[in-house]
Amino acid sequence: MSRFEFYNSQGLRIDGRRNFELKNFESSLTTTSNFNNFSRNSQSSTTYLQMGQNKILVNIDGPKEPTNSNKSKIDQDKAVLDININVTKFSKVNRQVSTNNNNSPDKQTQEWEFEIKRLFEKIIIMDSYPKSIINIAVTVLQQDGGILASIINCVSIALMNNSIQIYDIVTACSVGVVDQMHYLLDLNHLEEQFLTSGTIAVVGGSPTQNVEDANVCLLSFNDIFPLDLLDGFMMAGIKGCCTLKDIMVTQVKAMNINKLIEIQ
Amino acid sequence: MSTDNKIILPSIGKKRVINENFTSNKKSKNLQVTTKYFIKNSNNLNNVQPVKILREHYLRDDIPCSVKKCQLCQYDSGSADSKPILEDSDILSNNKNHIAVLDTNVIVNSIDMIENEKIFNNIIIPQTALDELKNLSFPIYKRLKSIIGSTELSDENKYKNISVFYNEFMNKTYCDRLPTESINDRNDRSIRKLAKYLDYHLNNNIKKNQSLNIQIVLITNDKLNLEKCKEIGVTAMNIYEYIDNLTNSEELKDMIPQYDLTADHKINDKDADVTKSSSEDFYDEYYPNSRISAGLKNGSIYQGNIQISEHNFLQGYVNVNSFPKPILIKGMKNLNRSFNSDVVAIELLPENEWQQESSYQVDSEHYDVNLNPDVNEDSEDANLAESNSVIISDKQRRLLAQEAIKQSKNNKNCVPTGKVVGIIRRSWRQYVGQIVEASVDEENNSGTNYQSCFVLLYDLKLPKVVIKTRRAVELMNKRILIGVDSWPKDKKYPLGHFIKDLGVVESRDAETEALLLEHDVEYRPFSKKVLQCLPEEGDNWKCPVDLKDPQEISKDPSLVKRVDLRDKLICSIDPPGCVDIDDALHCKLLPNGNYEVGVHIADVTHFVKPNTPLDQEGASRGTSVYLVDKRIDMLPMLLGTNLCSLKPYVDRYAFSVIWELDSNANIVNVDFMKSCIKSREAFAYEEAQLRIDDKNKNDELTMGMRNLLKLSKLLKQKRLDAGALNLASPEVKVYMDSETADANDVEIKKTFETNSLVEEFMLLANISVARKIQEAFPQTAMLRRHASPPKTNFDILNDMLTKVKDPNFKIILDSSKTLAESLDRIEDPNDSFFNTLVRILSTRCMMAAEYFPSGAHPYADYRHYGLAVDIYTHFTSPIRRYCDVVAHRQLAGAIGYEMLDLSHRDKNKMEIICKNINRRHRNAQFAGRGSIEYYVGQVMKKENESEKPKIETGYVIKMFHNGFQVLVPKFGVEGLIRLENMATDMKDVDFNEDQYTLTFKTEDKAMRTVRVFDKVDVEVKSVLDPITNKRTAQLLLK
Repeated sequence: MSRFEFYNSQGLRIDGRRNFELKNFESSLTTTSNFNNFSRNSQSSTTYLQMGQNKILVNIDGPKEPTNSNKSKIDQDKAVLDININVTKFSKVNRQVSTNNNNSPDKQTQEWEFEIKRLFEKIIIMDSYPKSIINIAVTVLQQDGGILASIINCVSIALMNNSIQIYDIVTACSVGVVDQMHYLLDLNHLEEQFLTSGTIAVVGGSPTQNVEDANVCLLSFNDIFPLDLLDGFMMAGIKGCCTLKDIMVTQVKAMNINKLIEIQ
Repeated sequence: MSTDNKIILPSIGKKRVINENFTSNKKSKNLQVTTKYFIKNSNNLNNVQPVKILREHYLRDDIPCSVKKCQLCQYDSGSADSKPILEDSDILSNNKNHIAVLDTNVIVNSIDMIENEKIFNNIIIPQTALDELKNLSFPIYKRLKSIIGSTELSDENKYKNISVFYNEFMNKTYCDRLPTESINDRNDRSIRKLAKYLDYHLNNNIKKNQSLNIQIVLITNDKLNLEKCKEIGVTAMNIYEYIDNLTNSEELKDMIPQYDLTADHKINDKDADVTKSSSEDFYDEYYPNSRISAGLKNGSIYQGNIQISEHNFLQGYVNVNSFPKPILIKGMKNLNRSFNSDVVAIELLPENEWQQESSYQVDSEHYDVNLNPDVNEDSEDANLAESNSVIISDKQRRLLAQEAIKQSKNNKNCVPTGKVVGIIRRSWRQYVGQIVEASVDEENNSGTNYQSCFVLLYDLKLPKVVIKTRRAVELMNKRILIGVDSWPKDKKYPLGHFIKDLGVVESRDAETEALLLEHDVEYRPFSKKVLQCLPEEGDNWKCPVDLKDPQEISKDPSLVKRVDLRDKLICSIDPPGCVDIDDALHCKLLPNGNYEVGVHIADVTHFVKPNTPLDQEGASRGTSVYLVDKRIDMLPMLLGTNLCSLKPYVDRYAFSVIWELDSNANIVNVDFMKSCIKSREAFAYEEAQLRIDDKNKNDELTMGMRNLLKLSKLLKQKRLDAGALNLASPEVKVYMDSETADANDVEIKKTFETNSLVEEFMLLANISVARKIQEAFPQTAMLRRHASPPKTNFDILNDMLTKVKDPNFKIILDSSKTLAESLDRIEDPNDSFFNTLVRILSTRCMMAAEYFPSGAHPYADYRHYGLAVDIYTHFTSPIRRYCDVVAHRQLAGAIGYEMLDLSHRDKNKMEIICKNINRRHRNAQFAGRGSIEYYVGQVMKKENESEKPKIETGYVIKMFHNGFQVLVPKFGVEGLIRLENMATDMKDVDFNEDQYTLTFKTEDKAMRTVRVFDKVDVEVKSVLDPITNKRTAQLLLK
């Protein structure tokens, strides 16, 4: 057993947070392209998210006409989503030495790509962009637990920044269970390593934390999860996601006001 | 948190405030969280790659101080025990109320005092110290954790209040490590900062107007720290000063560990210490850690558990995987301060120093007892060859190792011999012992002077310990509890300190408590928290009359899955006077000629739900302990003897296994269910036997029992055919006088056919359940295995048998079947007991059976060697064994009765459970045997009074140079007959080790030869050993 005490008698976690406290959440818009092309058809702009020690860059390219290579994928009625996740080799505790030389993503990353694609195909109003392709490139610079949730959040912010039409904002949060009683939100690396945990993503739910409106749109577990704990898990996760939504909305607003000022 | 070999980059984090945060708690909505992070670059030995460690550290300002009087702190109602607990009841001699803050070094050295109820009743432990402690000594950390929170003291309405202050998470008390500072200095500084903060917070808080006048005292043994405290104006003391300042200082002084006396200047005068060493040292210095780990890697140093020989405390063995036989460690210098069952690092000695196993019998009790404990006399060890310091390279050592393997195969006389070069993990705990009278200077007892005296430990495999006390005379003739502090290399014996007085030697209470403490049995009454988990109705709890009653179902939704078996004719068969009945049986003839046989086990898990305090207590106790006059229960009385006990004539919940057996006792079908039963009768073994034999009784219940007996015989035969062993151990029963509770007779346990009746069906139930849970939970099923014994274990026994008795006698170990058959063959026509004797001796060569989670071994290794079955578990005694509780839950999960708790589905957690119950099980056995030994001694003492010498038959089972070991079957005792008690002249003694004979001249000038396995007449006398104060059976050859 690990010698760590994940939830001590005074209700503090290993890094000093309480069980329902989220990690530090900061996002910003770093762009390599010029701001003047700020429109739906802009080339690209990059969203940077730092959620605790998770550092993620998302670059959205499109919607645009597909290039020659992926013309075959084209759909006459709606857009096509193409997601590409690149987990850098230096992002983990140990520098990873890849065994395959053709640089194809590992199984875990492929699964994430698949999950995120399925999720955002339902979120983006694809009918608005027929015959076009949206490229989402995710780069994970550093990871410290709950990386899937962070990627989803970052993609969500990037979609807003890129003014792509979506039904609602998606927010995601990782949840862990200690001693089958205490639920922890937004895990760090140590907690994720030793606890039963999962990720929950929510769409809807008003900014005023109206939990009833929230719809769960993704539920992903890292290992076998006991069914009897699911209720508490969902409640904790949904609450966390709703709070995150508040934070995200304010940050996106602030970000874009800055941008507007700069443009003017 | 980081050790020195980690390179730490300068912190690149910055503190910043974020505005958004989320808590479910409205009260702390406006709380601000600051974050800090750092990157470490660490190297450890196994992994050469640099590792990037990334940890966030949130600082907050809502850490409460836990002082009851404080008005400022707020508590999070959500978490388990966050309420203010600290009172200001501890009073210093200057009449000031105070709360003590402890430093790490104080906790490590004085953990016994912290556990004591006379001191440290209101203390704050800084988180920094707790973290340091965790890395320093995990066992002490665990002991401390168990008393944190408030614990009830024996004095009513008083509590021991220990609280942890999480100073690392508080922005006012957190300190950054300075660039030039060592990690220890930083920790000391943060503890000082905490003391300063608490002082300010409680006493001088002008802004918020709080002045409680509670003094904060920082207790530390570090001189530098004390000085620095003075500089910043924090009251600080070392432990001596502190105790001097207490009102009850007198009685506490004895308990101060000795280690401190030297520790103080060791830190400061390190250089001086190094220069003056070497010449006075009694033992060789241990190798540095780096050398040991390098040596372990390249194969020149080995690591293992040291086992001190039972016959000679100057000789130990270390089992190393790469050697067929354990490596011998001989002599005090080579044992180099190791205690029994320490994990040690050893090195092989050069071949010319290899030695034979000593055939002398040496007890620590009789080995230089008359030494003055203050003086370090260098008496030359008879067994110890003068060590000629040959320097051997690692390569040579590896060659040596190959040589050693060869040697141990060919030559049985010289054994590879090694030397302890380092202790990897100490096994020190609290020990029971008594003061050696010879070492106490009675005249010089003015009551104020400390004097050193020897304490002889209960476990004779351990060396004597030197303690300093002022109450030596008072403590003479008493059993005392001591702790071991240190064993410096210039001291011949380890240093320790006094903890507790258990009472006068030979008084029943003191002996029982000593026995329980020595075997680490938790014997305190159940705590309030545990008792709260019991059903509210208490003794009046009843099974619902109708299992389909909707009202009852609403209370317990799984009731619908319970089967009503109250119409079955069930009875229980147990030892006489049994109150915790956990099994019952029934048998019915089916219309198709087969039998329906049911085994019903008390449904303990209905009351013991996982993860409750009750469950945790049961898990940590692991088993009930049966002493002759006392039973230490695993579960509270209410459950064990009433609600769970399958008492006759009342409805009880049970877990039933129901088979359909054909007339040859083959299993046709098996079914498991939770049920409700009503036992018709509770029999003792003898009663049941009489009822079965009584031809006049032909009622259905008796018929059922007869059928059970018939089937059980078939089952037993099958088991024996498969190769089950029939081993023996000398089991005796002590009869107690019902009024005085004194033991008054001893007898070997009688068995009836009905004993085996119950046993066979319990085995069958265990096997069936094992199969079922293994199927359902292939990785985590709780099973029990018994490994086949290694051949080398039987070498000596076989050698003795062939040489002494008959060349054809040989124990063949190919399988349990051949072993059983060869045991059957070894028969002395003139002595019927000889076969039993060999069985007793072979039992000692066996491996111990153990619990394990099924994922820990491949299927082939699940085998239970002794029972000759491929899979086995314990299911049938959940009242007294925790393994059975787990098996019950897993079986309930497997049949879909309820969800299996997560902790029993987690391989790691199961491994922890198994490790604990294996240890508890072993300890319980030792304690039980110890208790029988004590009472047998008492019985013999009584019989001594009748003046007539008692002559009994004994068997010689082991030979030594200076005596031999004799087993007396009547009492089940063993004793050593020393040569000096038999022979007149030591010169005429001839010991032939090859032939296992000892020839000597008896008092009447006749030569006498004693051989192993000889049947001898011995006079049994109970003697109180003057030095150990232990009553032992003394045997005299007649």
